[in-house]
Amino acid sequence: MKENNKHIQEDKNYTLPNEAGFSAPKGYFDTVEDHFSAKLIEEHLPKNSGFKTPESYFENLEDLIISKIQLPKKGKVISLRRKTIKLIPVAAAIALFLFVGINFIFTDKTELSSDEIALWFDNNINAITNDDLITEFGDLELDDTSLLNEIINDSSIESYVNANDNYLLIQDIDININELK
Amino acid sequence: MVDEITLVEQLQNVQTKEQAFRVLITEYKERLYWHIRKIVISHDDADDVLQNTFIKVFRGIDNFKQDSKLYSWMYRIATNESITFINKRAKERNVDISEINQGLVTSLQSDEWFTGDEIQQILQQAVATLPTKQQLVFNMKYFDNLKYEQISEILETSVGGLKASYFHAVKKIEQYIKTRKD
Repeated sequence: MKENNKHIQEDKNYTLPNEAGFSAPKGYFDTVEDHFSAKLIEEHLPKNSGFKTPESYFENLEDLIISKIQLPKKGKVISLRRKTIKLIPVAAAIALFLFVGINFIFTDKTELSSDEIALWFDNNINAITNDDLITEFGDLELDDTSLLNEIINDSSIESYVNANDNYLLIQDIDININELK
Repeated sequence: MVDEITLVEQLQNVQTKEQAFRVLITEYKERLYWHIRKIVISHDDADDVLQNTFIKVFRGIDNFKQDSKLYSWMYRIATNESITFINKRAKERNVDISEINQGLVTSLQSDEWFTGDEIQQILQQAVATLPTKQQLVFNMKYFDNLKYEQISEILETSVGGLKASYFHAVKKIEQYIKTRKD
């Protein structure tokens, strides 16, 4: 028994000669047991995974993938930066429109000053027809309005007369006079 | 087959890009498909991920510097796409990735594109129990027959680390199969 142990000890001390010039990768002998063990286990495992594909699946894959890649090439590529810059005026216009629109809808119209109304009329008078006025104010009693309460001084009347066609003024006055008769 | 350097040059040239890309798909479609399939399990999902992989390859080829081999770079994209897919699914369902993997292999029983027998199904279940890294190493080494050096380049991990991962994976698989048989 002791003799056997002696041989084992001698085997352990024995170093392999490197005379043939061969060498093994560094650390190879540290993992060789694991490698061997893994090989043994592998022998009992199925080599095939069991997965399959539909028939002819791989045949037209090139065309399918290339068709997907070409899609963006057909359209004009616009950089996000350029797109954003282009959108700024549109966004500004929308914001302005919403601001004016919301203010117009939610602002109490009675708060408009006479000057604002007059300015609006000056700018839009040509767009308003008599029919529009009749439709909008058909049931309005002039006596109920405060329009005639406005005090018009002489200089304003004089400026008005000088700035307008006298013929039209005479016509207006004539109508009023006839109505008074 | 065109050599890799020429193919990359053609892929990076606008005039030859599309034709070269067709060659690239033909060359790698099956290898990448099976790599992806073993991660995402279902054929339909593998099909989606494979297409996304090639689309990413096409879009990224101009920036490919040839620091690594073309196939390693593509495998890496395919791996990342597959893992992203699984993670996304786990997030959507608010469950752990291992639960998703277990669910996927359980559904193999009714999968028309899985024809494996009982032991093949158990093997897939065993692989699904492994951590992601060990799954990848096992699949690439055992089923795809890739060398450790190739796997090392794809996963950017040392060969020593991969060998250890593979050994642990195989031991766990063996243990799982034993438990199932008992």
